[in-house]
Amino acid sequence: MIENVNLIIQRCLAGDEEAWNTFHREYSGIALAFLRWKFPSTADDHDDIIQRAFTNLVSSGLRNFKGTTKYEFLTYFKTIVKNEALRCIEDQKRRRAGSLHNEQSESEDGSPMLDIPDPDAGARPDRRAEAREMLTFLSKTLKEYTLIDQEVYLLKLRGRMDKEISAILDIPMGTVAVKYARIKSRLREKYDGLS
Amino acid sequence: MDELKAKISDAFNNFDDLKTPACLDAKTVGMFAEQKLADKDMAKAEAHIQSCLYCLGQLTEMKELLYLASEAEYVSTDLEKKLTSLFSKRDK
Repeated sequence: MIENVNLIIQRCLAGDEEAWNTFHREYSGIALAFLRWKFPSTADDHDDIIQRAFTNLVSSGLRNFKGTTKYEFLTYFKTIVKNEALRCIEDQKRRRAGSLHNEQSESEDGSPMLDIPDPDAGARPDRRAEAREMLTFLSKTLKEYTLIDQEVYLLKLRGRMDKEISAILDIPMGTVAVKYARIKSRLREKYDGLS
Repeated sequence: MDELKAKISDAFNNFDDLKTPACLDAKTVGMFAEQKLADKDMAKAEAHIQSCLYCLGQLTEMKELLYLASEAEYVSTDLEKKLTSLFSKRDK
């Protein structure tokens, strides 16, 4: 991985094509790995998403990056790719809603064919308060465990497989399973005790 | 997915609410993840992360990104050509 990403960015901004090629060869692979992991449903559009992300970077994104380290850039880059993926999903939804709307218009009895979910449901104050309570509960419970245990739990929650967690945290696969099971059962026990 | 796990996953949509002024920045989290902080700073960061769900989330996300970066694959030749050509088309 490019350690001095700032230098590469400065060279790109100065018009160095070789630097740009080094940059996109490395980061396009990272974008692809990220999309395959986080947005598998957009697989047919991964190339478009990556191209749009890099168009954004070459037009203003690189100039707007204010950090100094590869960590900051990785986070910044992930946000750009993620936003493009979310935009792609929105487009897909719109296209699907458009075609379904046409089908609805053509239906004979005029009855609604779709149960469209409330897009603002997550922003509702009651849901937000509930989420806050849940996070406080989780936070309090996790504090009983070591950092590595907490990391295992969160990675598992993010959908990572034991094999991947083992590689990410550099611990044996069996340890991952044991740590996760322990926290999961403790959370269940405490949660049941609440009601 | 069991009900409790579903509720917890759902709650993570409001994860950013947990951020406080004491939370660590991406640079510190990244350096911590790769154990590149000085011993004293490692201990300080660890103590914070261990009691802060927001920073724990940042740490696991950073470790995931570093892992993905190490596992990165090559994109298609066609896409690579398109990305190369973006540079000459940019606004100078």
